[in-house]
This record gives sequence, structure tokens and C-alpha cells, in this order.
Amino acid sequence: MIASLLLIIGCLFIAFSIFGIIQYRNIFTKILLISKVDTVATLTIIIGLIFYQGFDASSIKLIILVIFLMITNPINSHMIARVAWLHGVPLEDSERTKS
Amino acid sequence: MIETLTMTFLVGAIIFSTILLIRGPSVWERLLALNLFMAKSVILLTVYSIVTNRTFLLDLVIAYAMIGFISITLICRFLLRGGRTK
Repeated sequence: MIASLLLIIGCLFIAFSIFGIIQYRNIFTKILLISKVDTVATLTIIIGLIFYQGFDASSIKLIILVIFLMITNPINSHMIARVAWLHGVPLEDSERTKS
Repeated sequence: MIETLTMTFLVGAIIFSTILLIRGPSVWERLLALNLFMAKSVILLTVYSIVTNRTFLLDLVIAYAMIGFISITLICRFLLRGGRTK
């Protein structure tokens, strides 16, 4: 029951991420949205899989994977945003026709 | 039931991020799409290895997550040093 609920919540977060990457135009807005929503979706689905299987010897590998993804996924987003900022990508949209 | 739904949804998300990776007009959107693709494929492989009870695939998942992190780090350092134009 808890596992099904966590998997459904994770799918909902992935749907939010897809909606956001369609909706917005600017690259920094996309990075701001992806770096939070995608990390939360990953952690929610993997914790749901721990509840799905029950505590076992393979839960330790899943916990290691959770810790590793929780450290490295925001680092990736920060690094992409830093390189884009140092290359001089403008912070605001030049055209305001859509979004 | 719920795991089949989750895996179908993840395959759809992977196909969408592949389209985004091909279509994106600038380098940074392609890099962001590569980040999305890596995270989604890590989740899909984890769900598959738990559902079909093949837990030796989890070692492969950890190695794949490390490869994704190192690849994005090295591409960002390459772009930070000046890219292909220098």
C-alpha cells in the first residue's frame, strides 16, 4: 500500500518535470525546476521500491544508491547552471510572446 | 500492476527526453536533457531489477550512475575551458 502510493507520487513528480520543461523557455528556469523535481522523483521511487520488496540484503544497495543520487544529482544541475552563467547566457527572455 | 504502470511511464519519459536531446537548439538544453536521460534510465533499471527479482543488476545501476556523473562533469569542464572554439 505504501509502496504503491510512493510509486504513484514519483510518477506524478516526473509528470510535473515534463510539464515544466515544455512550459518554460529560459534555460535557468528549466534548470531551477529540474534540479529539485527530478531529484525528489528519483528518491521517492527508490524509497518506494525499498518498501515494495521488504527489508532484505538488496536494500543496502538501494540505500547506497539513494545517498549517491542525493549527492550527485544537484551537483550536475549546479555545474550546468555555472557553465551557462560563465558563458554569458542572458537571465531574461528576449521575447515575451509565449510563457 | 503498479510496477507495469511505472515502467511504462518511465519509458515514455525516456523517449521524450531523447526527443529533447536531439531537438534542443543550444548546448545547455542538450546537457540538461542528458541529465534527465541518465536519471530516468537509472530509475527504470532499478525498477526492472527489483520487480523481476534479479538483484545483481543493482551493482550495474550504481556503476551506471557513476558513469553518468563523471560524463556530465567532464563535458562541463570541457565547456568551461573554452570548448571546441579555443
